[in-house]
Amino acid sequence: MSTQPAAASSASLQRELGPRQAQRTGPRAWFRSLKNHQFAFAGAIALTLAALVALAAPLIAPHDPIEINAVDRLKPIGDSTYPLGTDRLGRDVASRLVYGSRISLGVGLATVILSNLLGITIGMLSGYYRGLDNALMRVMDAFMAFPGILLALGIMAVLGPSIINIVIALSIVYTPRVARVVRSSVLSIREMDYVEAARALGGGDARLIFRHILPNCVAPIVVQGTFIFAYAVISEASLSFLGVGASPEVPSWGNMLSEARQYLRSEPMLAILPGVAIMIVVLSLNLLGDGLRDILDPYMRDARGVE
Amino acid sequence: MLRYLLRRLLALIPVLILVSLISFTLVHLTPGDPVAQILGDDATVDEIERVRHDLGLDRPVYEQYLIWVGDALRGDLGQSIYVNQPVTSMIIERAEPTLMLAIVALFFTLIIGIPSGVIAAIKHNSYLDQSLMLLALLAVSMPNFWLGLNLILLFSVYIGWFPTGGYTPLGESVVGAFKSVMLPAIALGFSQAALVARMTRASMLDVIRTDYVRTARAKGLPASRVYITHALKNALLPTITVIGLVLTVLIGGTVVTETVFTIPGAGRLVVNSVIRRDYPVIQGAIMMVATAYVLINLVIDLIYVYVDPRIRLS
Repeated sequence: MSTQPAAASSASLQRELGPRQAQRTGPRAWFRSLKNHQFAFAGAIALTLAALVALAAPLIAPHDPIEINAVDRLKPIGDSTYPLGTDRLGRDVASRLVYGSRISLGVGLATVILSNLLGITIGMLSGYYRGLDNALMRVMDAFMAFPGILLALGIMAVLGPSIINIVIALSIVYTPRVARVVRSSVLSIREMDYVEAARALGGGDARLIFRHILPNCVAPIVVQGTFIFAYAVISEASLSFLGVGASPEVPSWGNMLSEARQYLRSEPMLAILPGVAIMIVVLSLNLLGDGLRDILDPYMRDARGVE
Repeated sequence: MLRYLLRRLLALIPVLILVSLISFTLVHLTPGDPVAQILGDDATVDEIERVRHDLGLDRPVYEQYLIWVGDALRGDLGQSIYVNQPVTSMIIERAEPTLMLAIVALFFTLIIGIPSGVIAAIKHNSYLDQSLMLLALLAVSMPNFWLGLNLILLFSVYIGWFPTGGYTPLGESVVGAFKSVMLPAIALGFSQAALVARMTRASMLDVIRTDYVRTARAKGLPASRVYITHALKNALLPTITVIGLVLTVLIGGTVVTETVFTIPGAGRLVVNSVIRRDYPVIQGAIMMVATAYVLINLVIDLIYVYVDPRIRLS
């Protein structure tokens, strides 16, 4: 008898919240909601394929991406040995595109990890220890006063061109954005009753932060991380295009575009293909990010955290 | 209003100090001796010492910072290492194309972004809405320099409507100046237009659902009138706040766009300075843009308070 009202209210709750999986949390539930979200799922699949290409690059690439063949310069698309033709130095375009995915995805992923490590730490400190908040956030604001690409350029000027330096420069650029998102989540979560309860039960700062607050910040962090990944891919290409990113012999998509610019008139395909590759990766990241935001954080719809 | 303005101006000081500190430290973290770089390999120790002294590099770091900030406040950002010219005049000489490019790009951003967002919101969930949003998603997914390359290919190489690059100064020909920044401005503004469209659509959708809009419709006012005069006014408020952000992204983006279209602007100067490791120029340019960003945002906030009096009260 006494269970009846509870069951009824749970049923009405379920009706309000929609399908049952929406109530569950955790990676498996996320995956299930992702499958129901067509666009996001398409993005996730495209991204998985790109990751597989990057991992299996030596198996897929028909040729060595940096081998110069003076005899086979500027072969057109559809050549029997070079499916997507060759560039000015006779290097195989298809192989360079395949290996380029390693640079783009690698830089993107590393930037997301590093900027999140820094940003989560700063955001946590700032949101949890209110005494630090003002100072830390003013510093973050100051960093955000620099246009991202300009700050990255300045840092690259100091560090010199290399792939690791790109990751460092871009992580410095995106850390304040992560810190802001984490801070605002922490600010709202730390006031919740269950956190208060955990503290009353004698939970120390570390326990409260890592067991009770951080797990509830995961949704906005994941959404933001997807967009940072997307922007990092574009920024890496931009820096390499400007000649201050990956060193020129590295087969990165930005470097390919930088070289292709000089022969735009005669060899337009050399400029189009790497751009399409960048677009596919960034588009799938954006689709995934938009979808994840709809699934995880319905209130954030159509607002973007990163420039 | 005056008190609000004063408070905002005071709050600028710490941010500007931090901005100058970041710009200063950035360059002073550089490994290696810049003087040895200027003078080359065959410089004697005495020569290096003399130049170090002339540049003030033998003083303590905090003194160097104070001198640099003091000079910067008087409009002197130091001397370029590579070209024997003051940084300030180098930047001012190249400011015109960059400002033209950023302003025309902002114009495109708003003229494309706002109407697309409004139309998408009014036709919510229609094919038009969905295709506009898909286009917006594509726009934010392509690098602006690649879009620039495609525009050059299409409009300059194949159709021949616009020059493939370069810049015609306003003093020479006004029409020529606009013609020369047209393609770069579209390349630069396209992805920002997409962001503005998404924002406008979202806030328009919120406003359309409010009671006062429903009342206006119920009174029998025509839809166009309700949407344009009643709803748009409120829906544009969040868009105003992003204009400052959009403008900085555009100014930052000129760095790449000017390279694609070989425009001799401030952005190109920064890229060249990075390649030549001309630190005073990089430092000065970065500092100037960040300061501009802080000031632009102050102006935007003031406009916002003026447009939306609710902010002032809180």
